[in-house]
Amino acid sequence: MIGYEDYIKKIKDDQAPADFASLRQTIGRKLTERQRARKRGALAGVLALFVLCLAAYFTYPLMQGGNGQLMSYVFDQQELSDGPVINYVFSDTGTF
Amino acid sequence: MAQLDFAAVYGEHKENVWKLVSRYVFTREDREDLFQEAFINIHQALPRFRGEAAVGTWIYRITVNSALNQLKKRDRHKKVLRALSALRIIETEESAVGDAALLERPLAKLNSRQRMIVMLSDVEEKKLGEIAELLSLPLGTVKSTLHRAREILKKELNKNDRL
Repeated sequence: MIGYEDYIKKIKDDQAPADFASLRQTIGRKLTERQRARKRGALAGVLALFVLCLAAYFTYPLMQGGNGQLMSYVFDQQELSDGPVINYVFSDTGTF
Repeated sequence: MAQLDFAAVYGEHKENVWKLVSRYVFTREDREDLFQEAFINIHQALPRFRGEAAVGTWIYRITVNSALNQLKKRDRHKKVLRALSALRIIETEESAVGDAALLERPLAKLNSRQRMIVMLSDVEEKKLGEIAELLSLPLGTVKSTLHRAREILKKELNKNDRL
């Protein structure tokens, strides 16, 4: 069993030599890998944006057209309701 | 201020950084990992270095933050291992009993913040005010954390007769 002060001293004294040249090489390799990963991420982002823009470019006119069709369907029905058949059904001059 | 050159910074400060990381972690693998991580962080921060502090102080801060991040990562890893072991999904094995492991064992009972504060105060011999500033913590928190950490370490050292 050792005391607290001795334990701290052991930590302070626990120094091992390092191979700085090999460590420098590994740091260089890791930096290159991270830079490549960052570039790949940026490229993937640009590509995703491009695909989105492309999808929007082709879909937007269709959506506009679709809206037009939908609205004309609604108004056509309204026109029908003012037609003679509907007026006949709902008129007060029926024969009942 | 002229742009700092990474190779020059590495050449000039590698030994100090190694000495510093050797005080936070004890196996060769951990030391090398932390050393590399610290220099990668230094490389990324170099373009933002304004020269407001001395290069040595700036490098010291980055190394301490890298150490703190590595210790936090370990804390999370330990929690996951403990949870998996509690669910009996894995068996936790006793780590190897080398010098590094023996030195590490009492410190392993501390969380990352307690460990950093003990290291900065008792191994690095920093003043409490400096530690509070370095870790962005209130002085009172540093004092109470240090007190608690020392208590835990003393208790662990009493139990441990192999050191």
